[in-house]
Amino acid sequence: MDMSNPNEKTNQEQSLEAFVDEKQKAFERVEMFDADQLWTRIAPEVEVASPNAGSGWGIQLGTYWKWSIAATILLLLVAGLLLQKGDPGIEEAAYTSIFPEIQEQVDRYQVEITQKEAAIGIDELPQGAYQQIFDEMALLEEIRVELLKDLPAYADQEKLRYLFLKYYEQKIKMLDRLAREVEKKESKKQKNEEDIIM
Amino acid sequence: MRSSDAISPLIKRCLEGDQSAQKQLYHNYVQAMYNVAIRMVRNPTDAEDVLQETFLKVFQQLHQFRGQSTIGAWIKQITVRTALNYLRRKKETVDINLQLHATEEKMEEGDGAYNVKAIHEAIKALPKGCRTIVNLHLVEGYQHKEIAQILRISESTSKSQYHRGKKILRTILKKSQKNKIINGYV
Repeated sequence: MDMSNPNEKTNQEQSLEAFVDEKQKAFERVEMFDADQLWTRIAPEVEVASPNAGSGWGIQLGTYWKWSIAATILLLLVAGLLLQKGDPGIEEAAYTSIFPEIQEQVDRYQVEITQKEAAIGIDELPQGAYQQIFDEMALLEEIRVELLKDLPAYADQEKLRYLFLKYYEQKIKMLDRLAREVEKKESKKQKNEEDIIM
Repeated sequence: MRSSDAISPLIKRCLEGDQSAQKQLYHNYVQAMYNVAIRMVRNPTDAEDVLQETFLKVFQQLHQFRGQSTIGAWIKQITVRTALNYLRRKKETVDINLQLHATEEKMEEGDGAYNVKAIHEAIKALPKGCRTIVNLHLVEGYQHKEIAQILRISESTSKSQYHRGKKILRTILKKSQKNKIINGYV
């Protein structure tokens, strides 16, 4: 936090900034207040808030609980499939030839996904800013690959059809969620700009 | 503010749950943080609320402090962010009217054209948006790049609002100077 950037200051401005810089310590003590009284309010809460009191884990878990539940459900789904799996190795998209009745539906889903991805500008998005959603989408893709591997030997064809369609529905829901998050971030940024400019 | 080296034994004791050490750490920084907070939220009650939340976070997150900066700079970062969140939660409206009454008080630390008390009060009288930026850049020493990240605005907006805020600040200071003369303080 170095404020001595000469490029940002004219000569006239320098004097105000130089003054503030020189009197930095004084700016910490312009107004005094009853610190002891505030401590009596804080102290009992500090004891509870201390990481030694065990609240830290609660906070950390709190951030990821939705993701943990979603991951658990999806992993159970995969585990259920793996128990019944046979020889892997079928090519992607072959399932539409096995289930021609869902071909049309799959095509519609694929068009919708492509449109949504383009509208979001998914390739240009900073993944780190939406890490949780991208992680969930990656897991969904892994599940899809597993489904494709299991396709030839999977006994319950009806369930398999359902799961393939479910994959697309899930993907669309995730893209919708991503779109909402992007919009939320954008409007927040715009609002911040407006607040500052007002 | 003290260096992180000088207070690291104090931090260790705080981490061990030593309440007297926690109180000591609090007292070392609370007055400075109060001044940071009140320049941002203006109201003493709000500033105390910000401090309460700040120091709870400080003790809750102290184990995450790695000494990359001084402990004072680290606490100040928490104070600034807490004050900003507080303002967002309160959805504080922008007060464009310049509140000159605050600068009519007797000046304590004169130094040529400027004095600390007058600048402190003039910052509090600035409209909300540019007040935060002037405060963070001019007094707290944040670069525009850092301000842009904290406020989630562009760097150029930070710079332009800083210059706008400083113009208003100068107007307030000039009027305050006139008031001083009228009221016979000079």
